[in-house]
Amino acid sequence: MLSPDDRLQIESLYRRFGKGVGSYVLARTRDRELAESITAQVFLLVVRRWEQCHGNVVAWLWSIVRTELARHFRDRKVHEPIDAVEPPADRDDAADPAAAAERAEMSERMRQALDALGEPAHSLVHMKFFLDMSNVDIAEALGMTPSNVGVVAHRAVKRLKELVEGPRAAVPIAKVAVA
Amino acid sequence: MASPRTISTLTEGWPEAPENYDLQAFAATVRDERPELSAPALDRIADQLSAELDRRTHVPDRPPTRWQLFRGHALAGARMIAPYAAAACLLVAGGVWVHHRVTTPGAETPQGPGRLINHERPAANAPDQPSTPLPDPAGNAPRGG
Repeated sequence: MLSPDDRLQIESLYRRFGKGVGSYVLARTRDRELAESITAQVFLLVVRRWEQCHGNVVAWLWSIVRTELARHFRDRKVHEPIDAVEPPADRDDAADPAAAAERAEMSERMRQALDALGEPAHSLVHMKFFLDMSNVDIAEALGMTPSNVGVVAHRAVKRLKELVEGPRAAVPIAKVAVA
Repeated sequence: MASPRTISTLTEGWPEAPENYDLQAFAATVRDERPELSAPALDRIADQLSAELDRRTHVPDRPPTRWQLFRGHALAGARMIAPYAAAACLLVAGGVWVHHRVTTPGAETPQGPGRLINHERPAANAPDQPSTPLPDPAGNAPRGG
């Protein structure tokens, strides 16, 4: 049984990272219903396994997210079509279909580039850009120093830019390791 | 569009580099391109989380009222002093009983019935005190009248 303090901590964890976890899962699965289901499952596991968390809570949460995604991909082994994820709601795509198509292609290249990052850059970039975590929190979660987080983040963004804005080719982007 | 504060967070700890201006703009784009679950979806997840927490959270009893606290403390105190109070009552009762027995006139005393506990000793063969006639060895009626 959880104490009222545990409940408050878990609710605070969801308020702080629920949206970011959902975004990360959605970016990886590209299916809104599936992303909602996996995100819910992640936080249900947080509740059920709360007593097993002995170290950094965010790192533990992140490990659950990665594990659930890996389990999903292992079980399903399917890839969603390019238009499974709707564009941001504040953009008027009907007014400029060409711009909408360009943004869709940009989104796809961004997704491929993010997926191509090796660890720890992959986790670091997603924690920074999707979960809005500070360098101190990321450092604690990944076992790095805050200064090293800044350096790795800079290097990863630079590499992402090269991958996204590079020559538009049909060749898949190979995995790159950013130390 | 990412706010200046958001961009500052995204570029936190970056080393100085000539391409940082363009990288900052690109970082803002990465942040803007982030897909998000809808608000209703996040609310549904929150509801599921809340339901699971309800099942697994121990809710303590309502805090005791001041009267309940007082009663609890009073009972605990009474339980502690009860043996001593009983012993004190027994002592007091015993003392009262002894005092009563000693001071009441005609009360039975350990020395025998009808005898007063005083420092005065009845005079032997006092005048006007009929003495107990001694029996006549010859069997006649006792003298004295």
